Amino acid sequence: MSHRASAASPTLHGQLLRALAAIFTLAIVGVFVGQWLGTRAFVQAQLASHAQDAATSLALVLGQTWKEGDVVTARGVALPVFDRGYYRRIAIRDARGALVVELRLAEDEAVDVPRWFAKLAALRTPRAQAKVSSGWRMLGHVEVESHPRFAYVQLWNGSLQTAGWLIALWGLAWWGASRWLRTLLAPLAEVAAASIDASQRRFRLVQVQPRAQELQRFVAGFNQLVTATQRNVAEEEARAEQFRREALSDALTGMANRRALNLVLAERRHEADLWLALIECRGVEVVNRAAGFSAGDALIRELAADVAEVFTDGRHARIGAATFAVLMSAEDAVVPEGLSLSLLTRFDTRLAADGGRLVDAAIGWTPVNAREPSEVLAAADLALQQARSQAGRHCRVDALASELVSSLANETAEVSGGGRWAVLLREALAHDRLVLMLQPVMALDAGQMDQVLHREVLTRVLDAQGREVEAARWWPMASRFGLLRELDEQVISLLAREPVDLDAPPYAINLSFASWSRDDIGERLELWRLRLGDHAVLFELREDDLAHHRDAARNFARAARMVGFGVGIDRFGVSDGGLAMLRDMLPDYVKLDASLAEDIEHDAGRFLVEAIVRVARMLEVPVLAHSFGRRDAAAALARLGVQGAQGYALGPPQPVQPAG
Amino acid sequence: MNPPRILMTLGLAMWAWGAQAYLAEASQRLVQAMSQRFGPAAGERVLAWQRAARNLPAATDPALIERSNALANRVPYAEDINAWHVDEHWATPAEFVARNAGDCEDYTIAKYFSLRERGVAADKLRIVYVRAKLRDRIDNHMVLAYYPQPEADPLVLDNLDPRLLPASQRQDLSPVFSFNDEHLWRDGQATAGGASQVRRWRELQERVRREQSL
Repeated sequence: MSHRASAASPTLHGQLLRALAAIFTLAIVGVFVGQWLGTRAFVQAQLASHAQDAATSLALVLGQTWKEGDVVTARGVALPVFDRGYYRRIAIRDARGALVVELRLAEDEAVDVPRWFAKLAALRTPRAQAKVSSGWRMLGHVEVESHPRFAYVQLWNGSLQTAGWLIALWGLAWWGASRWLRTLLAPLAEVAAASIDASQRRFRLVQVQPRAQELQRFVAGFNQLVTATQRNVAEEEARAEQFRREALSDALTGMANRRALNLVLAERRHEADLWLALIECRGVEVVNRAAGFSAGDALIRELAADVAEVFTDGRHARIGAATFAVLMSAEDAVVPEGLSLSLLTRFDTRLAADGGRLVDAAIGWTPVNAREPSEVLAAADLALQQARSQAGRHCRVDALASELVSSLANETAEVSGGGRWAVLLREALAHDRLVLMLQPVMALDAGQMDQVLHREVLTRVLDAQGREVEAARWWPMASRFGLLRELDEQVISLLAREPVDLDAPPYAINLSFASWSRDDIGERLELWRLRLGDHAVLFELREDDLAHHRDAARNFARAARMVGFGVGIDRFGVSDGGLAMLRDMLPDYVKLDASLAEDIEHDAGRFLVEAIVRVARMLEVPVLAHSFGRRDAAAALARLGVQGAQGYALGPPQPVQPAG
Repeated sequence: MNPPRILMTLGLAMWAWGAQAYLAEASQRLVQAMSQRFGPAAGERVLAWQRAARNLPAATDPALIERSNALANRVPYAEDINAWHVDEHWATPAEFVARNAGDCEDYTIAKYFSLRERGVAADKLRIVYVRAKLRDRIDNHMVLAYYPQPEADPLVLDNLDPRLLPASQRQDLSPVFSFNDEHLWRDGQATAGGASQVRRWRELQERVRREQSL
């Protein structure tokens, strides 16, 4: 809005240029008038002296040749001079003043310049006279009146030429001044642009180096402010990043920790062919006792390195003293089994080379198969215990292999169920079997309790039996079969059918990466805008998608805002680079990953939330969260600076009113 | 008539009137100024001239020419180089009287001014450059010619020969060029050229004007 105001009010460049133009104009008019008056005076003087010269020379000639009463001689002397055309009147009088000869042009003789010009110039026709004398005797006198015709022409041509030059000069000066001002004010324009950016929380340095001292200081001051702000934001961001890392990673090995493993499991558990292994190494405590904790730590790091090297394609975590977890995709048991054997062999060689250290390792695998994280971990633990009991007789490979096979046998049926999901989703799309629910996100600020910030659109798919399937279940499948784009379109179409209520809080629609990263997203957004009409809509993007496609994300955010959509980041605070996106995209809000809100009773979790809130607050981005349990859980979030929350206790999802 | 022309006419008319009342009406300050420049006696001389000028007969009296000629010729002759320490100086009548010295043009100018002051029309007077045959040489000289009628044989007011003679009786003088300032108020507007082109005459008039405004 400040933008628009500044566009309407005149620019400094324009004002200065107008002032300069006015000064040029005045100066040039002044020069012209001066020049004109000067030329006019000169022409007038010329006319006068011309008349006098003619009179004097006629008088001289007459003084030598003229006798009293000799009209013929007088006329003969005057006529050639008169016929040159420069004189309006030549008269010769005798000593008593009686007219002897008078030659006169008609009064109304046309002048060769515009009438108004002649009127304006109003040249006087000078009269000159000279006495005609012969010796002491006065014979009479000659009167000469100049004709101003040629003077007018001279004045007219001179004026035209002067005006031409002055106008050309004016144009040149205007052009020069305009260019000069542009150069002079370029830094100012740059600073103005940077200020507008800063007001939109995009802090950037002004790169131009102005020549004017005042501007230099101004730019230096501005840049100092920007640098300080940038540094503060960067520091807070680094701190939050640090907390995030600490909260989600293991300090000793740098691997993911148990919390992070839970996040990943929750996130990916619906993937098919996903396996979880627990790897437990016993005997580290013996090393601790015998050689000290640093030796024990060194051993754990070596073991962790082995795990990471063997399972290069998997996600690794350290979840106990010497217990690791590996999550990887494999179509059957052969690859995990082979890799497990090579890991155990590696462990053996490492320990054998080391001599004294007796460490006993076991590995238990279980397929994830869409179970809750705790359930999967329990199953993997069970597999581990079985492996250990079977491998008790120095035969670790056997125990592992047999356990793997047995656990596989139980799970295979569920894993291969992907095909059914594809059918279910396609059917639902084809027959409009989607149900939209709205869950309110409530303001947590003391002043605006019970205010609904926006309503998240939750999509449920109906299966053949008409049962509602939650997004957490169908989403990974839709992603796998490439149906997310169509689902997003469907959701928007359904919402578009809703009657518009201008006072209602905006909808927040989850938008998949497949949708927002498409090349024609700009046209798509315009189409959605047309379809959604006056509905206020925010699009929620997932942080883990954003972090790896920052350019596409920025592009989307810009295009969305251009057509009046808001942009939020969902599942915020757990992915690498997410915090940087905060600064990059300046979303309308961020919604913390559910695991973070769950975790705030622990220091690490609370610190992370606090740190995120600090960064976000500097950039004036509201932080929202999921609230679990009773309403007082939301109060705890509010104390950390979270500005809004959604949860069952705050407001359960409600079906969208069917249209009509 | 537009305003500037009215003003100009008015100014010229005033100047013309001023020319007629100059030394005869000399102000106290002009007397003082002359005393300061040329000593206390100079003031006295200006006042004496003033008295004499006031006693001159009227313009209609033929004796005026004779008396004016004689009045000016009472001032002793001196070359400019001696009187003014420059080669050529056209003194104003006040300077001429106060300095109590002058050469031919100073006499001529003083006579011209006193006659004009007395009301003699400008077209009856002409300041004339002449070539004068002196005893031993021919020299440039200046006299005042008075024309009772335009076509008449003029009377010559000369400081070399103090007698008032008709020009026809002055075979020793041959006229070269003559002027007066009648153009200045012809038709109420200045005509260009004429005497205003005689630079010394122009400068002289300027100085006279300054003296008058004292």
